[in-house]
Amino acid sequence: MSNTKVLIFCWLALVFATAATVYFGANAMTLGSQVGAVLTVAVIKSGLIIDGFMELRHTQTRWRVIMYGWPLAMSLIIAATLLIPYFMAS
Amino acid sequence: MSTSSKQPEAAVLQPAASHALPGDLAMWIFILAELAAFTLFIIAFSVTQMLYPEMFQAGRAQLDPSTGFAMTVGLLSSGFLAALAVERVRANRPRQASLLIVAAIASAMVYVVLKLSEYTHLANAGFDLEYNMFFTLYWLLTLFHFLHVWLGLLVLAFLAWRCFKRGYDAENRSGMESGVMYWHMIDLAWVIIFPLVYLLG
Repeated sequence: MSNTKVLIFCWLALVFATAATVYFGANAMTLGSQVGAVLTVAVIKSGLIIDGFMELRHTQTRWRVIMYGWPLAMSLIIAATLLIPYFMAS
Repeated sequence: MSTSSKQPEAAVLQPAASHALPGDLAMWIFILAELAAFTLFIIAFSVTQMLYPEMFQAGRAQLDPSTGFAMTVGLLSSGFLAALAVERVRANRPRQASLLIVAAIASAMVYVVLKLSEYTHLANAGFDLEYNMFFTLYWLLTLFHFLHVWLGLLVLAFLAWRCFKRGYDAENRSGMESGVMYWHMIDLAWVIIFPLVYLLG
């Protein structure tokens, strides 16, 4: 697939994923499912930017690990701060 | 017309066939430093939300997720157009790249206009920096990102001008790639900030 087609695919996927994020944010049944769904989509979107727009899919693994590490770490921190009190209270 | 612009397009449409990073290494170190700064704001927001969940829920109710959706699509579309512009430079079509960068700036202005509208609405309703902890962190985090968007727009405007002047081509594109990578970093930060501030909790 040409790089232009990859970029078009990433853009369409990002728009769709953003709509999915808003849907899950508004319609999730529980906080746990909301956090899980929204942050999973956020990490997928980050991957589309990192591998698609930034083209790190072509480069060394260590740079991909570093760049993927940021959204993963942020998502884990956000999930922990939301879900730990939630599960402790229930 | 420069001699480089006469090169066959197929010969230069291999973006990063080598395993090198797009752009300068210095820009990637700068991007990591910027992400570290965003990390501090995100942790501050998350931890404070853990301490005051009801306050954050009430504060978030003042924000419109559909506006956040439109802002996000504006930014992501801008990143897409900027990535296409890099492709055009690699194909020795800097004038086309210039037009794509201008389109990227226009798309990013959707975010800027909507964000300014949101800021005005909240400020007029009294939800300013001192209203409570949610709005203090909302303003600090989103303004920090908003300032990065403005810096990114200046970078994009410079890239559009350089492309229009045929300052970049397939062989001389590192500056172009570095500027566009910075713009993608701003998208990446927003992809995490948007659900944290507008949706979760």
